[in-house]
Amino acid sequence: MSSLNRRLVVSYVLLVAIAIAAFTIPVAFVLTGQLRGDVETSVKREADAAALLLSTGDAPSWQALARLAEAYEAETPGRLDAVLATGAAPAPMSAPAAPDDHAFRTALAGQVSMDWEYAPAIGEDGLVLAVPARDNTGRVVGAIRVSYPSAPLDARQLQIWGFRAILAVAVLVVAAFLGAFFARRLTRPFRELNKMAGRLRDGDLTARAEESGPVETRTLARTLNNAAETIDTLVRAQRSFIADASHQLRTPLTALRLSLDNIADGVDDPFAHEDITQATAEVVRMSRLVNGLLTLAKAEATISAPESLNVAELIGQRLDAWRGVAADRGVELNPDHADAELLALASPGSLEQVLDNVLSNAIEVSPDRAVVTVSSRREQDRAVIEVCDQGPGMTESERSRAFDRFWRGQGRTGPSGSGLGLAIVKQLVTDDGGTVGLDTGPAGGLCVRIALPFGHRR
Amino acid sequence: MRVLLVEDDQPIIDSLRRGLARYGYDVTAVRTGAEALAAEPADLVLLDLGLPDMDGLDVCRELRSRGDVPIIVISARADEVDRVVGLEIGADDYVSKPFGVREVIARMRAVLRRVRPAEAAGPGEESLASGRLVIDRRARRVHLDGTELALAPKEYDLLSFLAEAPGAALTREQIMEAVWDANWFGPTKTLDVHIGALRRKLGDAAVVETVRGVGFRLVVDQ
Repeated sequence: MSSLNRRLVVSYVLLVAIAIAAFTIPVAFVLTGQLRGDVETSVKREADAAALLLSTGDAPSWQALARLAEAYEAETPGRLDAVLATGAAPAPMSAPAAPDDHAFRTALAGQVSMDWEYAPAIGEDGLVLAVPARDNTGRVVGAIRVSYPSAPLDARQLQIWGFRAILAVAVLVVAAFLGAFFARRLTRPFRELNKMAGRLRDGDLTARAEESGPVETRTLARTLNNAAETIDTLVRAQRSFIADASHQLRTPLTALRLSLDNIADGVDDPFAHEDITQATAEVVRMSRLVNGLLTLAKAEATISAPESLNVAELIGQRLDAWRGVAADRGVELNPDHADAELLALASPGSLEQVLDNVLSNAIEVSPDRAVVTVSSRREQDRAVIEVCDQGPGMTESERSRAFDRFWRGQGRTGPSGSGLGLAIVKQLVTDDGGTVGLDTGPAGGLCVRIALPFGHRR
Repeated sequence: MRVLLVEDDQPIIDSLRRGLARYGYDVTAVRTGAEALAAEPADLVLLDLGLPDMDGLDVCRELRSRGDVPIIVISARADEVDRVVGLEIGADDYVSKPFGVREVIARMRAVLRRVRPAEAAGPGEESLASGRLVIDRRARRVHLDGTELALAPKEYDLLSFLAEAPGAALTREQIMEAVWDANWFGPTKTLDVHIGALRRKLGDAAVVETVRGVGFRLVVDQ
């Protein structure tokens, strides 16, 4: 699941959770208040009735009061107690527990007392309500105290909350599934666009995205298609320019070369011959420049999918190819691989050309019996190749310009160098998403450092 | 020897005609594919691929279907693909522009020798340096002062190509193309290695001279 998908699902679930909380919690609080209110009302009614019986003061009324208290205790979890102003219980009722508690005292003082607190009569938390019983003259003759436990109320409340919680979880689960479904639908166009962009990167310039889905993705798809169209046109233009330029430039060079040959065959003057040789060399040099520029332009216009290559193996092949030349100049080529299985991502053929150009320079500038070291190692997510020589090296200002087109180090790679070798190296490495840099080697020579993306075993 | 030159650039036609005439080739030049197909049969065809009226490859295919006249394709496009296609549809060799007169002659001689060994001059042996150096092209052998030289195949090919145009400066690019059948920009160090080996083996009989800024030339005292 992509990150955008997950975020969408999380935000769906979060929204639903907030909505459930906003609707449920206030309602639940109101409900709690209502449950307590109901209990309070019924307890008050019961207490008022009992107070009336108590205030009458005759034996039958007290008998009735005693029966009422008995019935109350039997039918509800609560308990009804009565005291006379004297502190004694009205016969035939038994003496209540805690006959001089706060509730009784308040009621005997003529006030109604109602509190949710510890009820001594039932030995647990609950509602304790006491009302005064007054005779006809309004004098307080006794008090009725009703104790009603809160446990059943709490249980009921827990039940309601529990039910609501289960419901909320169920709704959230459904919301998550629906969210995942919608998120996948919503991000499908992005996956399509990504697939298309990948094909584009691999060089398939005809890749186009389907312009469907919501307005935003449709706009993005259209923009991407336009960009692909532009790239396609530019690359085509550059490719045809390369073909045209190579034809247009090489044709007059051929005519010039042939004319010079004809002149050379027609004159015997050795001085003229020297001039003609000179002119021929210039034509050849110009041809090489044209070839170099076209190679560079071709490298710029070529898009190909990088592949995973074994670095040590590839370097080995190139070193074998160069060993003869190096031996001719008394130069030793020395590979140094930290990891023989190191893989790098590079377009087919480009790393070979990069190594050829770099090795050619390194061997060219090496003094006799010098060593050129080619090392490779892994650095984080990069495969790093370093080619170090023991030549004269470069100053910092030379290093900063060495990758420029047509730059040639003073007396380094000879007059036949085109000044394009390192420019081509940079172009090829950059095309593959890598970097190339120059540094001073441990022995004072030049180190070319090529870092390519780390490859993966198929 | 009659050579049919199919090329649309007039300056190249003029220079090449004069240059080849000096070495005894009779050049008929045409500027379009249609004229090339209508022209009199020649002993060898030099065919440029960039023609104004039709694809040079079609001309090549048509000429090949008529007979076995040797065809050397010349092109300003040095693409590997072009070379492969050109050779595939019947061309005998492929020369990239730009080239010099002696370079194209060397290629023509090599092609004629390869295509028509029976008609090739003499017994197939070529004697250079007053007889000190003898190249037996049929057996691909080289004798120096009567002893056979042990040459690697590429060394033989290199000497053989240089000997097609003794005294002429040949560019590194043309030598690479003729001997290694590869056109490539960049280092041509492989060539230097083989030149070095050849110099050691030839001794003083023939000198492979470096032409500064151009390439190499085989110098032999006749």
